[in-house]
Amino acid sequence: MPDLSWLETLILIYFLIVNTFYGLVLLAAGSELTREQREIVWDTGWRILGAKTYPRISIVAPAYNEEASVVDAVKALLGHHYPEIEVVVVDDGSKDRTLEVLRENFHLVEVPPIYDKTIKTAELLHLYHSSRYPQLKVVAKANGGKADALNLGLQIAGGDLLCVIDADTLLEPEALLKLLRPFLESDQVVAAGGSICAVNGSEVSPSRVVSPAVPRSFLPGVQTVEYLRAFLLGRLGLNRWGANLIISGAFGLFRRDAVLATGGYAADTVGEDMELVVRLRRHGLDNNGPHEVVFIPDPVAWTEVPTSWKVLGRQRDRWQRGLCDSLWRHAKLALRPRYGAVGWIGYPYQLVVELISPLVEALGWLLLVLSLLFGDVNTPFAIQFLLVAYGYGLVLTVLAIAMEQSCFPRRHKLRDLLWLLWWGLVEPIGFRQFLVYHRLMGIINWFRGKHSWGKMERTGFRKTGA
Amino acid sequence: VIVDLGWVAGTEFVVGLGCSLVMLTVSAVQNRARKRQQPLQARAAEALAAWLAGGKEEPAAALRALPRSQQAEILMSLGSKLDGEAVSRLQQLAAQLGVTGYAQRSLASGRWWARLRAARYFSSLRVVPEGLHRLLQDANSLVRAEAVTIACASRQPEHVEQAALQLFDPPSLARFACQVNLPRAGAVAGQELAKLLANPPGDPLLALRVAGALREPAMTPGALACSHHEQPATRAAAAELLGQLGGPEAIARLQQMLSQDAAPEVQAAAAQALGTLNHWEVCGPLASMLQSPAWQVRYAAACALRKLGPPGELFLRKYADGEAEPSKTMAQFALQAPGLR
Repeated sequence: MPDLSWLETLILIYFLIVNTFYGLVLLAAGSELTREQREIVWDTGWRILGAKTYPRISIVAPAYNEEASVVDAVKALLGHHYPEIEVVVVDDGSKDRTLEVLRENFHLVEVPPIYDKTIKTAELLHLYHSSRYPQLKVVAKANGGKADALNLGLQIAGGDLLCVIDADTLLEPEALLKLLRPFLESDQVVAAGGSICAVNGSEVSPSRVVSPAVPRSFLPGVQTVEYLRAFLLGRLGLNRWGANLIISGAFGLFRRDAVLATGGYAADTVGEDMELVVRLRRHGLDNNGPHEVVFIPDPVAWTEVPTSWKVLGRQRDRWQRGLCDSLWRHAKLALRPRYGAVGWIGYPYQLVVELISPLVEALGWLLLVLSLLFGDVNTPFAIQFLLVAYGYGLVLTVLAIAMEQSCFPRRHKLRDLLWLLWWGLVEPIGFRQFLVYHRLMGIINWFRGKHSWGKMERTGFRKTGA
Repeated sequence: VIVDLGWVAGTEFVVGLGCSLVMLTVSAVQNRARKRQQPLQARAAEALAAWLAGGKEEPAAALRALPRSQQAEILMSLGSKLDGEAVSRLQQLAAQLGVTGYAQRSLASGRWWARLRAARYFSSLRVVPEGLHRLLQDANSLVRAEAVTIACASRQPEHVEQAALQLFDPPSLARFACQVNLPRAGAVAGQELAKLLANPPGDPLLALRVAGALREPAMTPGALACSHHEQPATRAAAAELLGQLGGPEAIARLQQMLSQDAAPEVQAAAAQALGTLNHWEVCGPLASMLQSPAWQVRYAAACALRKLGPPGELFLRKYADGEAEPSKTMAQFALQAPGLR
């Protein structure tokens, strides 16, 4: 055994703790997936379609400069398999032609804005109803950020449940029916979320993913594997213990009354999706009210992932700032018996695994470089350690792919599976270090009080025959 | 560090490689099986559809070429879309193939997922299995939910009566299945609900909501009794039901709830119900609610006045032209909004 400094020992202990936790999460995810599979076998969600009593769902889709994809996305939302859906698109003061495109395609008619103003938002400029699709409402407002747009949308909406979805996200037709189930099973559920997959490389027609495929280019490819692992292992495993603290901002279903009761989305954070979920859980547990947050792996939302390093870096920087902010605001949750699994598992997981990991990883890389520079390194040990870390990550990735393939085989082609494995193999080399850097920058920027979102660039979906 | 890191890394790579190979092999085998099974499945489904459409050729042979689970899936996919004589023929065929017998045996299984699959099979084919009453008391709420579906589809009073009791259970999928399926049982469910509303074994909130989909006049006494319930949500649901049932007693009680109930949600529900009933004599009390401090009451009153047509609009105009807020803004909005009527 080589001699290790106290810092190296600390890093090693951290590595062991985190990976033990990953192992436990993997086991929990496996068990959760088995239960889930048993529950959905031969399930016929069609019954609710002819029902006379059901929870009404309002889909709120904030849009900011989404000219390229907003029409397809709204058409997909209107075509969902559910008896009664209200779609509220909130144009958050777009600078491009988002509102014009919506007006032209959906025959919008301006109506007076009647709604209960319980949450303060930026000014509502116009409210439109579609004369062609009675269930569609479009809100034009002054720019105030995503959270502000969501807050206005949830006040305009009239449903019992609120589906929050990014305007450029495509849902599978039965996604809502599947995501509804936790709310029907228990009145303690305040929020439910599904998996998010990268749509890049898949064929879309006209507003549905008709042929899912694994992206062939590097950045979308490695993100596909990353998303798969995060959802099928991380969220599913935490779900088993009732410790979920995140519902993706791209696709989630919430109890509207609970969201209104907690004051809606926080407009002064860039991680408004996580912050809301943490606040909902905390509020529920503090008041002995509904507080459960459920993740279901099967309903899938397809979203475009960044294709440029610059945009990806900005996105991860923002996610990390959002995480820092949510954990800071709700630090009282940590290790308090009254918050149960949230306090003992969910919060510590987010803190130790998600928040601190870039710091420790960066420190590890720095130490390695310094040791190499000064010749003070046990090369065989360093190589073996790196190989162990790489191998462990690889095993987790392969198992996540295997879980997806055995339970929800969306990609039938062997070629796609091989591509997934390839992206799993190359993901830890370069991509991971890039993420570590930007997550680290996110922490630093949070300390410096940076609150901007950064620009996202969309290319639009690849259509069949295009 | 107390273990050989090289050995750990080696093991990880072997595990990773092994899992990958297993996954690729399984996937290849599944793809091949899928390709082999697809024509057989298509042939069986076509034969079955042709037979149900009046064809002479028996589809049993084509179905027997498939594993039992696939036979069941094909039967279920058609069973859930058909009705009448076609379903009876499907049920006979399923019995002949032995699928129903197998499902019946699975209902006695100790594994909840086996019982669930069997219950889903019976509910899709609308066959009442032996021991449905036991299934309605199953420990697993998903199994109970399927049992409720079967019971309501059967429309037999003894089964519907037992199924309706699920409305008073703790929240579960079984309770929701009851909520969705009871209205499909028609008059039988209406009679059972009327009895339950008159003498509820628990909070009748959900029963009131379901009753709204059935609208049996016999429910009026129960709805009136529920309108005095201690929970505002239950009183609001009772008001909604009274608005759907109508009648002089319902109108009198709704007017009382509108003006006297302390809970805004009950007042709003009463206003909405009076609007639904088109009872124009209530224009005055409804218009006075435009001054309510609660937004939902003002909104419900404005909507109700719009629904009442010219008499209601007259009151709305009066408030819209007046100076008093917040009734002025609400009345103006209500008059301008095209979708409120």
